[in-house]
Amino acid sequence: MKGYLCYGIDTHLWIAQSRDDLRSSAVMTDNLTKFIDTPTTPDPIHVYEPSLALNKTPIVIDNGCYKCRAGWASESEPKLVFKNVVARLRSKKEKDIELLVGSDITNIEVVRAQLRSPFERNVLVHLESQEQLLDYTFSHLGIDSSGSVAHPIVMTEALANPNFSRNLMSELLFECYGVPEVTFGVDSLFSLHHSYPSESQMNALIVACGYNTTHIIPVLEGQPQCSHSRRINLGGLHSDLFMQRLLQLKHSAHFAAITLSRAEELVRRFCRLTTDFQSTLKLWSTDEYYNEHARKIQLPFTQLAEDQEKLRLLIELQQLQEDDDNEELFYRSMKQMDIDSVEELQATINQLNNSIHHIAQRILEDRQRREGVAEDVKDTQKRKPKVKEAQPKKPKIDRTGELSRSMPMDTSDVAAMATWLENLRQQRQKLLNKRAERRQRRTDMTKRRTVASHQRMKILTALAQGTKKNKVDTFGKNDDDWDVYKEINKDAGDSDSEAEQDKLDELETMLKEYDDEFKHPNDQGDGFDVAEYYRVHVGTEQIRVPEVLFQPSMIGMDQAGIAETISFVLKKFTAEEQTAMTQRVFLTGSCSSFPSFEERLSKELQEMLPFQSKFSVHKAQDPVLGPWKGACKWTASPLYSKFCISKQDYDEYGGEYIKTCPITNQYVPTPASLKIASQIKKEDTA
Amino acid sequence: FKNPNFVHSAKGSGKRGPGHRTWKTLKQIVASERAYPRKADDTSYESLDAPPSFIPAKKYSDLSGLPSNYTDPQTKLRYHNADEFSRIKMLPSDIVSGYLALRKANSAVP
Repeated sequence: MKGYLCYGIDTHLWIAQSRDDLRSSAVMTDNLTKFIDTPTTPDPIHVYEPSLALNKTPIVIDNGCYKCRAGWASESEPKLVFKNVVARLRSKKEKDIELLVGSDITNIEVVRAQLRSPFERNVLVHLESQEQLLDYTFSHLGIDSSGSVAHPIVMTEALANPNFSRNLMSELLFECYGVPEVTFGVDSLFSLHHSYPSESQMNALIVACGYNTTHIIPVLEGQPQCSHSRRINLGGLHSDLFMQRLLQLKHSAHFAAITLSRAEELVRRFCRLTTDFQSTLKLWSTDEYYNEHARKIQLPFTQLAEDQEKLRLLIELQQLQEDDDNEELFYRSMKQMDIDSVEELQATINQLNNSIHHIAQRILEDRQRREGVAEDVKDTQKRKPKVKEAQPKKPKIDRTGELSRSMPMDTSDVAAMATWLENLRQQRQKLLNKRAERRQRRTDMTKRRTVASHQRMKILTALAQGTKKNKVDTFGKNDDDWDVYKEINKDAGDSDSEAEQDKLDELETMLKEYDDEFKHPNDQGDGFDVAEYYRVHVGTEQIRVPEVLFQPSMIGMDQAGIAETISFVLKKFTAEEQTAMTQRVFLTGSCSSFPSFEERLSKELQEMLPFQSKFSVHKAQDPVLGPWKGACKWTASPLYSKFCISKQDYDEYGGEYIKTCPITNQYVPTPASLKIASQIKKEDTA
Repeated sequence: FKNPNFVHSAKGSGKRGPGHRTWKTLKQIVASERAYPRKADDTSYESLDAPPSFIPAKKYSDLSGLPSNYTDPQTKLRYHNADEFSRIKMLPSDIVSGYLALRKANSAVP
């Protein structure tokens, strides 16, 4: 149930790809990769072989919330593996609805909003999409018999699946598809059966990490102890979402580029659990460790990179032209580039230059906006705007004069020159700070629930009260009183005045002339590394994201993590039973593919169990396909026919009925009185 | 291979007309399950929920995930060191609320 992409293939692909990158470009380092964005391939429609129909081979469906795996019990691998979702596409003009199911969806991000899963958490609720998914499954298995699917069905369901939901599923299978026999089993119990098929009296503690939920199921002498099992509503989906959100917030400029499927890919490729989370985090806090281990993912930035490449070529061409000897070569390469004349060459170069400059500018502005605010940390903290210094009210020309007059006459006087420059720099910084502060205040004011707007409301109420109490109105006696209006003004007192801008420009020109170090912010465009800007860094996220399973408080969930829940479950048993179960801590489910999950679990168990107790952690033979394969094995076992539900049973006991056995849920019948009541209701409506 | 006349029995009484089927949500299913009289050791979907954690939640920096001892009083974001603090200061408010929402710390009650 709830599987991820096969891990091995994934990593392999990645290694191959990153090697290619290394060869192709010297700049690429080991930690730099790209998104693979594996496209889905539509499932083929398989052939319905006559022998299958003749033998009434059971169909095994591992109906997981993430992926559905379906196939014939006689085979070793499932024929179909597809994402268990349906997309309803509605075209506006015609009122027909196009249905896309499972692997038919080539790019899941495009239809993300129209996606519909039959599950809510891990329980089946939306039977309509389930019906569509089953249609898809059966037709792709090649079944062409009319009226019914004449094969027994083995299907997985959630642990402690509500009777309501099972009822609907049996109804669908028996009445819609005319299935002769059905078996409902729990996925993780099937997986246990797959790994240890011969032992019927075993003790185990199952830790099943799925896509939506994680289950801890104690098994005593072959019997799952349903009443002592626990479910944590946390799984692979949550780590994917966490990864997506973290990266989106970190790289807000690439918000749209970080999609859920890409986050999924990152989680599968790079995330790992750590045996000691705290100490590993400490390692990450050093720069060396970060640089060595952080993964950088290059996002495509086609336009700019292409432009730059073309520009480089064109400039080389221009240099060729200047060399008189190479005239022939020059014209040949001109033809190659599709350029007819020298004028056109110049024009293209200019055009490219402009467009590159434009993009770089935009990126820079974005960055400066943040840095500008950063420079002003202390001032914004105080929040009270400083009393504005008296602006020099002389006309512009005068001030220029003043500034240059203050310049030391003797330019060779190094010390005086330095102090003067320092002075200029400080003035400029002050102006910039003030402007940044004002902008910050303005943005804060426009939003409610910020400190700035609270302050404003406070002043307003104080003013409103004050005027009533004081009989003598002294407002205005003091010049500072008028500052109140500046403070409560939504535009934050004053806008970027023209005079200030003039002064800033002037200071900058002065500095440009006399200061070697000074660089105008707009000049930085040339050295700007565009590739770096389009890189997503995956640093601590590598260990932080999977850690959610052990510390749900990281995403604000109040449920206990895996380790704490295990100890909670174990405490319900006697010491002997505990030791018996911990001899086989069985790890299954797609999330258990995180590297060093076993080591982490061992460490946690060692901490919670009594001193010197022995235990062992086993990973399922196949954590992802285990349930499906286990279900196949189950159909071969002698118990199978004893515990499956026939159409007769369904008619007699109702849809919620199952025969309790080691791989199924415990059957808790709905009280008879309620059943009758619901039947009466049904008849009334019919 | 299917019965063309099949209709789901559990179609809810659609408020928007007969064409629209409403399905019970998980919450409704669990609530109706809760209504059953049941024995003490019977399991239900709801009784399986893991208990809340008793270990005090560790605090991590919102930006970097490193262990954090400080909270910015203004944005309520946690940070690891002074460097991160200055980065918090320049975050626009939508990012700040995004980080808070991530650990469900953005409740309306201050």
